Amino acid sequence: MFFLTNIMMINMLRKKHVPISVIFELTLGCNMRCIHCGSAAGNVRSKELTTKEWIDLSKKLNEIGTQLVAFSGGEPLIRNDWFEIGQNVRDLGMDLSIISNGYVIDEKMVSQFRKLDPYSVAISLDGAVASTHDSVRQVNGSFEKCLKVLKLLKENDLPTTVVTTIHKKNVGELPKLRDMLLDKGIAWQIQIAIPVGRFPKNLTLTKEEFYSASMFISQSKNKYSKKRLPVMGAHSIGYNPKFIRNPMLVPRWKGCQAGISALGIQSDGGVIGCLSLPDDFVEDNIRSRDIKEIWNDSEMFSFNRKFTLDDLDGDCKECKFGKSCKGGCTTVSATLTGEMHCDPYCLYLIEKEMTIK
Amino acid sequence: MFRATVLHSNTIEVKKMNRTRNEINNKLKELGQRLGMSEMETLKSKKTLKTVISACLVIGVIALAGLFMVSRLDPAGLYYMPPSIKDFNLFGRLF
Repeated sequence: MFFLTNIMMINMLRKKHVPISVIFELTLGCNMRCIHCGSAAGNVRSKELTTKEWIDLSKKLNEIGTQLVAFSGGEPLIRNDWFEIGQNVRDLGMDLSIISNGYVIDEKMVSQFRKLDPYSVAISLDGAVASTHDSVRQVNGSFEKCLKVLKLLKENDLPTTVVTTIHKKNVGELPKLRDMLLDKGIAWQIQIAIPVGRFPKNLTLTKEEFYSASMFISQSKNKYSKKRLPVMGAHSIGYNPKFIRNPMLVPRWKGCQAGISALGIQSDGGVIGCLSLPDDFVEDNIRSRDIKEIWNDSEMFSFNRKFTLDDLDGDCKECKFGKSCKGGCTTVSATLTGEMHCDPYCLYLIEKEMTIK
Repeated sequence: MFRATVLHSNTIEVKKMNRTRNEINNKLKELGQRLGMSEMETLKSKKTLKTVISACLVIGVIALAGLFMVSRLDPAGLYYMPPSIKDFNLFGRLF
């Protein structure tokens, strides 16, 4: 009986939406002007949240079940109070990830990271050679700096991740990047750039190039053990492929999690299901309403929370995976098609098209 | 007569399947070549019995553990933000 009650309680908890992972856009200010930046980061937003506001927000999020907070931006480490906000997140018992371009990281900062014992420190690396990385990041010398920072993080035993955003300019360098990261004990996430923010449409991968890149991830996963090369495709690379191995880390895609178990907070307090989503998706602001109230409002994040099969569009409408997949990544879908539930960069769909031809 | 027809249609089916498989392999080879993958490397990207079985095992273990642990196993943390090296250990996020 006790066992059954426990199971029932767990099922009840499962149904409730919980913002398990939350990304803080600490600032939109950035020391780089990357060509693929979806937020077109550079200048700070007007009236960005204060230290106290971030700390209060962290407390409230902790009360509603948040377990993992990630600092992002812009470049989060150019804020003077990032350590204080991070310390508070850790004191509340939540895990902390830091996503940075690495340009301002030095030994002093690394010792601060060590004090925070972060879940991961993710650094962007967008090319295997300086000319590519520097031109993508639009900062000369950023490649050399990035490599130094990765070395420094590893020397200090910090859980290090490299994030590579691929597009026409750098997709061909994936094999070389793999050679660089092999046996380094660094996790590697590969994600696609989509034409939002500063990223020009003509550099977006074609579906075939996208499939090739996915094949590369699958092949790398088959070729090397997780210990030698912990590589994965981000949530925009996947969805039920039949021919190649699932490039994602988890075995099964459960649909976009924005507003379900994931949340983004913009630097001016804007509440959005996922920070990659365009600004039209901002639901509310923590300055005008308590975050708990916003999260628990059943009218919020309705594009995901109230999803039904009728919401599927395009080729996803007839897809047998529609119910679980919900049409892939909402950001990619909305940006490329204007609809919310028909991500055309879907391995299953591309394979289907390949076999029909 | 009936048996002969069935055999004949089976042969046609098998031929059709082989043709489709060849077409898919050729297409994959072509796509793999773009990133300098050889034929062998391209074949390595494909699903194998080993990867399917290991995926089933992982799903099984996660489903079992999921009965007792609720949120830690939710994929959101893994999908929504860059992973940690800890995520590549099966129980990394549990403890």
